[in-house]
Amino acid sequence: MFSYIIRRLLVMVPTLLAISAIVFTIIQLPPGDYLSTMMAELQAQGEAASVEKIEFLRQQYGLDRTPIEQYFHWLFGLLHGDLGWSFEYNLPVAHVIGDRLVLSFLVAFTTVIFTYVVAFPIGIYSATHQYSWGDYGLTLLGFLGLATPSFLLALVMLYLANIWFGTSIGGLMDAEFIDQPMSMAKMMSVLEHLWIPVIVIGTSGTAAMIRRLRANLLDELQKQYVVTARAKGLPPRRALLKYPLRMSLNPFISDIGDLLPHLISGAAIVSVVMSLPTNGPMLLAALRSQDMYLAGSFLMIEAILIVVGVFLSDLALAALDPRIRLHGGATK
Amino acid sequence: MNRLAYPPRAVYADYARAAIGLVFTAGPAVAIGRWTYAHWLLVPLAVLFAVFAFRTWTRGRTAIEWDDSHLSISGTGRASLPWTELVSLKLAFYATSRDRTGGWMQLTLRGAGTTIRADSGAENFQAFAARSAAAALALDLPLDAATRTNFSALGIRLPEAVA
Repeated sequence: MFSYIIRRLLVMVPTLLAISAIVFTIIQLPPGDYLSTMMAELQAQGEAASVEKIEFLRQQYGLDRTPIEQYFHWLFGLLHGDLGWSFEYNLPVAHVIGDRLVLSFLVAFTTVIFTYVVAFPIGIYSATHQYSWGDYGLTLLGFLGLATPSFLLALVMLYLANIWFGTSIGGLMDAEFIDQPMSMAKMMSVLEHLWIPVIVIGTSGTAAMIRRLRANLLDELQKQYVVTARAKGLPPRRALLKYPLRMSLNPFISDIGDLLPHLISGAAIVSVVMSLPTNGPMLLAALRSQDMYLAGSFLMIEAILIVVGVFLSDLALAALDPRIRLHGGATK
Repeated sequence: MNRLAYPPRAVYADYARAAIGLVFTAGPAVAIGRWTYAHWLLVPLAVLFAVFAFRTWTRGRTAIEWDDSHLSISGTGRASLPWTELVSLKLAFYATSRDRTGGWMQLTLRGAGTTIRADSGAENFQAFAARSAAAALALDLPLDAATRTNFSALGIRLPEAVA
């Protein structure tokens, strides 16, 4: 296992370097830079900035250097803990994304917990009670969850939350707590608002997970070893939980790699609709305005989480199911 | 007496891996100089690669010899395990690609207070695996499904498990 961990870690290094180069290249691809975008906006508003001032800012931000120089400057900055400077906010990137990162984690983590807690019992029930009324009813609910666009559900939930519970529409806290330091009252306000985005963002994922868990578990339950276990008189709960459920979880472990990046930028459209102070809308704005260090930092954090997620899921899979799938002898 | 040992090719490849890992982790950690948050990531990784380099060195000097009565390990450490005292056996496969078309196997034997591991990169691995399987079957040791499948992939046929 130790050799396996080392090999997987080694693969991560060139992967992250390649991703950093690709991210930086893509951000640089649109013509111009942040300052030319800003100048175009000023001109559209009938204002003009002096050429000298623009050149001064270009030098100040290092935009007069070659892209390769800018890339290595950014890369070494990352290693030093310096994520760069946000042109749009005129602040270090770390300051800009700090608070939003915490709130994004909170929303995403709660959503993941919600998804697992709701999907697992329903998926197991549907598989073990196939074609029962309960299975049909839950399947219908699952299809409804899959088919309903998240932004539409967000609008409906905002309306209902306001009408039924008097919760203020949009955001993750009441207006008086925005930009205030964390306190018990602010925490309670966040918790009061949190359930709406969690249900909205989690519904489609929950529905999808129910369908997949049901299908995987049904496959396993029809295998001969389960029939044998039942015929030998193994208690039904044990005959379900010991192997079939464990084997049907493999695809979900593989999904950890896809799950982690959502902690950063997941559900951007829902965040826009619900005015959530999370990272998704900020990433979109940074990409549109070519705020390259801000956008680059978001994308790199996402890339790191994807690579780490895939690494963790590979380790978990190797531990859970160390079976060979090739024939004709071991290879090195 | 049969012998299992690691050919230089297998050991050199792991030395290269350890060196590359150290270059990309210890290198930046030293170059940055003052302690930053990056060191919390780089230094533990560098230690891991250093441990891997040490392990590769010990593995390169290790040899396993066996006959009909027992197996013994020599090199940086010495241990002996009579076949009759084998307690557990596991053959795992570690994939290097997602479709599992590439990778290596690791055979783990436990008994008489010692644990002996051998990778499929070693010369004579197939014969060692076959002898270990025979010992496990003679003692009627339980073998998990993954181990049975992996033996089958090695071309070593085991009788069906009796439930």
